Amino acid sequence: MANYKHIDLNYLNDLSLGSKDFMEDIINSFLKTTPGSIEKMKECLVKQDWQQIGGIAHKLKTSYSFMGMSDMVEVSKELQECGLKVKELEKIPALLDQMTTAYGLAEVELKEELSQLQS
Amino acid sequence: MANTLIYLVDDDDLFLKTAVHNLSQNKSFTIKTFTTGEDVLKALSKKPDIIILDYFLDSEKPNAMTGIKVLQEIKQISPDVEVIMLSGQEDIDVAVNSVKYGAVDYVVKNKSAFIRVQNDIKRVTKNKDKEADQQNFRKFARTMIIFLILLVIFLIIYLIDNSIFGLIPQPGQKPPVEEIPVH
Repeated sequence: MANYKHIDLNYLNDLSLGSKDFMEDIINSFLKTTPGSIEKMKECLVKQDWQQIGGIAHKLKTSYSFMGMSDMVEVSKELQECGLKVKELEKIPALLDQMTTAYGLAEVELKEELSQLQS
Repeated sequence: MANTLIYLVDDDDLFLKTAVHNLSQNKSFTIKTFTTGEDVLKALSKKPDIIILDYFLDSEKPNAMTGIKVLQEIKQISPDVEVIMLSGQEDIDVAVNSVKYGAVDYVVKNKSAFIRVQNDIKRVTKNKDKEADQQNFRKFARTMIIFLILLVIFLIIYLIDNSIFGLIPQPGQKPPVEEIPVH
């Protein structure tokens, strides 16, 4: 497995129990669902639906941990706290920007990993 | 336990896929997945052995049933089903509530989650096997007791019967003397 800067697929590799199909499936699911979740949180920010932001962030935490994106696990935790407890709401826009950037960087590496898995 | 029917309930597709992949390595497990608590309650009639249930089922659907509410309903409808509660984070309130409402364990979705879930399943199936053995033994013991009681009753009847018809000499009664004809 290649060394990446923004993702760490060792945990997912352990979970795959040697199945390339499983790795591909999970990476594809992550790439398919995460941008939508980030967009939804941004919409919720406009609507000031803090609970929903907290709920989505909670779910993203597990996905980021599968991709070894530990910084994003922490960002998700913060978003979850802010959203569900309706506190420090001013932090939310910056956290969402941070998440958008991190996803963009991870996406490139995940697509690279996918092409390696398929070759 | 020959075949264990496991229900997995989580609204997180990625987690469901990973859990199925991990648990299905054990060929004696039959796994069915559900994304809402409402759906799993409808499927209780199929009598699952174990339900692995996410605590935070209303993360994206605020009107969906919460994990704790689903746990309560499961225990009300099928008290024998064992429930393992899952949660995205350490939270003592979640843990206490889960156990209070009848879950066998509360597992945090971290790197050791699947190992812990597998250990819980092993423990639950072992206990269920033990219970089944005890139940079988109790059934066997009951049958043996009934058999022995019947045997004693028959023996008493046999003895009474024989004493009535004189086959068994009563105390003080002379045994019948066979007369020898004199020529």
